[in-house]
Amino acid sequence: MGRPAELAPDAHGRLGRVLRALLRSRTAAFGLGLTLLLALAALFAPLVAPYRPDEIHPIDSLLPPTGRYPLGTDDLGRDILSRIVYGARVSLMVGGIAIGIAAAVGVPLGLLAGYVGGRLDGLVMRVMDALLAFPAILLAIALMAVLGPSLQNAMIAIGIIYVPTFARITRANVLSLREKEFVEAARALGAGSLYVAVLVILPNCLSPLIVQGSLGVANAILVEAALSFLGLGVQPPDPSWGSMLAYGRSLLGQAPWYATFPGLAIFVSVLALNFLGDGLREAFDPRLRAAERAN
Amino acid sequence: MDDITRRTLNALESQRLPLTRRQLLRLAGEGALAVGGLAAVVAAAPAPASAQAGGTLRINMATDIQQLDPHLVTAWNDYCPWECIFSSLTALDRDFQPIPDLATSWTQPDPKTYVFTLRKGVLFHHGREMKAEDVKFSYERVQSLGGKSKWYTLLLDLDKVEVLDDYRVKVSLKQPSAPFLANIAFAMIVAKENVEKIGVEPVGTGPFRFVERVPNSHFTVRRWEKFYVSGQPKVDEIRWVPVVEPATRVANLKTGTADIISEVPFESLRDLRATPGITIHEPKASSAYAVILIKHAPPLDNKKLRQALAMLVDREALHRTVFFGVGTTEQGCNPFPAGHWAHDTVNCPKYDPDAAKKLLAEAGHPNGIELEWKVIGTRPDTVKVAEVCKETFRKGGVNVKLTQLEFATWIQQVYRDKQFQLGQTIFLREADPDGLVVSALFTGGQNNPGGYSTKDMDTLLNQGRGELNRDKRKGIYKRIAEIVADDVPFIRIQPQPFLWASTGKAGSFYINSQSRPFVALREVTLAR
Repeated sequence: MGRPAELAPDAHGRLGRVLRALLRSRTAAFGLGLTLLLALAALFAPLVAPYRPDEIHPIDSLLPPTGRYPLGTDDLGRDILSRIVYGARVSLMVGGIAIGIAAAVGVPLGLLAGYVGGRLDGLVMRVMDALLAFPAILLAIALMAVLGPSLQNAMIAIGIIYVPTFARITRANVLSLREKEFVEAARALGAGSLYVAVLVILPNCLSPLIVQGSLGVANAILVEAALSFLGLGVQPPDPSWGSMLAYGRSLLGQAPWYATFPGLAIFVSVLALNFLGDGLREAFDPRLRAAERAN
Repeated sequence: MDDITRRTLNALESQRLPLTRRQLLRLAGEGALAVGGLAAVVAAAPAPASAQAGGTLRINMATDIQQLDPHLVTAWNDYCPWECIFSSLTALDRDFQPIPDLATSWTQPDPKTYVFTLRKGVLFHHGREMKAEDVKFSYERVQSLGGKSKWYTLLLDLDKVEVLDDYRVKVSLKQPSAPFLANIAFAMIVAKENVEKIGVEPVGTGPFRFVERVPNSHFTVRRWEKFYVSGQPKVDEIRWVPVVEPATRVANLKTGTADIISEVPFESLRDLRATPGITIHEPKASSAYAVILIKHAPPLDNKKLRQALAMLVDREALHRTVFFGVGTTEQGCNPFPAGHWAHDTVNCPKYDPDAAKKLLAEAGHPNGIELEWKVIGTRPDTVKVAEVCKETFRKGGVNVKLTQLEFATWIQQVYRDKQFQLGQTIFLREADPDGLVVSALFTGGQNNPGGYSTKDMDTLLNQGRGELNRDKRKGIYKRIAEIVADDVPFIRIQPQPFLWASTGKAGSFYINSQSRPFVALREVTLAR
């Protein structure tokens, strides 16, 4: 901790160590595997899905799962498996891009607030507090009402919701790091403020941010599902787990598979990402690292 | 009713203590209920045995009420305030035939004149007597509102209204009008001094008086004690509650939280029919039509493009999926449904993507075209129609971009601002063939947000209304149906009946062929 060696951590060794720690935990390995599987399915959706997601088969409306339609069909005779696979694209894309937006805005803000401090810190963090005071879904709905319903706007709205989280985590870490010896050492060597903030302090806050990122994707998927459930996210006929759940719900009595499988998809993917996030946190935990070194 | 009383009532309701509820309601209605008295009433003996009349009828409907002014309503659900609060010279019975209401009788000295004799002693809810002057004022108000009023097109033939004395009105028409007596059933009589506040505190002559409207919560009307038909209405109060989610409405009916629900979702019909004690109310004839609106502006002002779209609507696919086999696809394009006297077979375009592609090329879009389609997100049926059509349109080279809007926004954008290219909506059936088409086809008609306007059509519509000979009228309406099939002012899909369902508690409830309860609300009783 805080030794000059941390200035230039050995990237390879560190990644390997984190991965090893991650795979040692069974739940984390499960989360990682499932997330990868999901990502692959989303990436190769046209190869995985038996049908196009918006292909209707009026004669096969509301069929239970069979060989032809492994997860059954919806009321318009669309294959639910295909829609779930394409829906994974939407979910992961929204999750990834929204968290990307949140990090891209939140991290620099947190860094600025934490490093500069003083009045600027107060100003930035009070704005973040104000954003944080809104319930996430309410803020998203309000933003969607202003921006208009579309997938793109859903990503922006969800991104804005998670800005404060990233800003706060970054700021908190910067506050403790900026007083450390290695930062002082860098300053003593004549490094400028920008150099110190971006190249010395920021790399050392990455671990909590990565953890937050993986957990944030899971939350963003949930928010997207909720927005689409309310008709504010993905526009029909593009599949989204949330909107499938919304439409399937009215047919729960007759066609339980319609709402069940999208619901399971949300459940499993959010669970997997949470396992992964928890695993990452443990893998990054310095106490565990110390234990490893002791071995 | 004060807050505490209401809360107590709600609590009682949830505990299912119907015996004291009615007493409470009556007392509360008279304002005689102090907080201290409440406990006494709750602890009091059971209600008297005469459980025939009274009670609160709870109706769940699909969307919230937007407009209380009976002359400005546009949405189907907004009919419910005025069919309770207001009344008109005529009413429509179960079969949609005009019957006397505020007018006790009428004479027709010549084809262009009616003299109505008004009922005496009819009181507005604020206590003033309704007189001939109010009829004149109300009709002139509708006329002056023009296109803003849904009923403007129904009073197109009206020339002038003269007050003969307090209880007699002479109405002159521009031309003889076959549907006039049925049309005025929708022209509600309002009080001049109430017009300023009619949107918030409407006053009428109807069977129920306005109590309160809480947006997205409820709309309540209470029995008007001095209603001009003795013994009516039979229930004390009607509480309309918007429940957007169809499955929730069905669940509310099945659990007894609602006595009557509107817009029964087609997908739960099988389930409800199998539930004992529940009655499904289906209009005798097709009550409403699913319609695709077309904005008559470039590029859709091109007839060939519209014809191509008409050929891309796969009615069979829609029938199986969206409508769960309810209704029929026969003569889907015909504005006069089979079974109506004005119906005659016309050549409806068949689903044919190849022919449509050819037409599209002729219309100047050999590489296809992209069109925007606005749907009501809170009405899954409109979304589904558009989803199925997007798929079939694609086969003919038409790429549809769907935009989902909330109901009020949709009404604003499509009906008021007329900002759309395609949109899915529902046209209501009126009794007379004129009522079936005029508002959608006449220049500036209320159901014509697409702006369809041709001289031929306007002339034909006027002729149809002016012709009193039914056979000749039928010929005119056949011509209109042919133009609709060929010129595609909009695309009719198939009947989309509004179905209601009631529990055994709501006795003698029925709907007319427009799928509205209308006068049935005066007669409905509540068993307990």
